[in-house]
Amino acid sequence: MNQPVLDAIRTRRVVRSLLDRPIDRELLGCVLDAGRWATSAGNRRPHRFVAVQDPLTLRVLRAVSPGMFQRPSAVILICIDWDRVAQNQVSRNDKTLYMDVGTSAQNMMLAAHALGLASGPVTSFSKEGVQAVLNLPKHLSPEMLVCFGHPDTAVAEKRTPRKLNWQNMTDWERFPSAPSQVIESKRDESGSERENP
Amino acid sequence: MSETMVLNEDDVMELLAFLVSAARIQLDEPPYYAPMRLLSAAERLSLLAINRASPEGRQALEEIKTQILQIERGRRLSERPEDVPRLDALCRTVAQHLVNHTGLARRSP
Ligand SMILES: Cc1cc2nc3c(=O)[nH]c(=O)nc-3n(C[C@H](O)[C@H](O)[C@H](O)COP(=O)(O)O)c2cc1C
Repeated sequence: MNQPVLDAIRTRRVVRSLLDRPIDRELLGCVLDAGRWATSAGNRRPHRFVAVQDPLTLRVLRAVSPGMFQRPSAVILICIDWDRVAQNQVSRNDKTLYMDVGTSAQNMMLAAHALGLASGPVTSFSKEGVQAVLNLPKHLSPEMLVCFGHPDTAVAEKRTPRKLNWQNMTDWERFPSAPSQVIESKRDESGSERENP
Repeated sequence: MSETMVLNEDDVMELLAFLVSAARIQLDEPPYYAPMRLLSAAERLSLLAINRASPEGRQALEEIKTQILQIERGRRLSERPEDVPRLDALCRTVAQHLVNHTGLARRSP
């Protein structure tokens, strides 16, 4: 069976060895479009994307981003737009704002992979630094930089083997009751005491 | 002691930006990231300096860079005991280069 989506999900890896070659704007547009189609809590879409391809801006952006090991040809910054958050009457502490950053980023990285581009997220950056470098308006907070480039296939990426798989990450159905709860419900069955609500 | 200038003002500012950004984000990140950030700074410094370094300096910087890349970053050093001797070797390489480069090796006690 041809399963391109599953194949893309399974084979995408963060790739940090990149070629010094620009990315076509059209390709970057496809990646941004994938970010736009991500799921979003309440379909509120509280984000703005800032796409950067200028080499000097990228260099300075990298200087304030200690977690950016790669030298990307393009970066898409995902921001929370706090004006939109207020317009939608969403609490500033609402965790879905950050979940939506993740869904957009994942869609973008999968799209990049499908287009033959390498990608990698970076959250280890100075927010103030990124604000200053990109001259971001006050209502936008920088949340995640997603780096893109053409993969340098000559360099073998270091991978740490993991024993993780979906089976050992997953529990099925209800968790078994703790021993004390079993005793409580047994008592309840005998009619002597009621289970706590 | 060599007077060769290997960094320009932009390079210095770039590295400064990295260092202060790393200090800030370290407040929010696990403590075991700290050695990795310092190694990243060392790597970035080597790369900035390598092009303008003397042949001898360039050779040392190449070696330092290679040694840095051998150390697995992003994981706790305590989980990777093989990285401890690698870091020790890196410290030794840099110190030895300094001893030779500054002329300290040729000094009589
Ligand atoms: C929220 C988030 C933040 C991340 N931040 C960084 C980062 O700052 N620097 C980096 O090199 N990788 C970063 N990563 C990438 C992870 O290190 C990477 O996804 C993980 O090691 C698994 O690798 P894989 O995606 O290739 O399977 C981040 C990933 C996520 C989900």
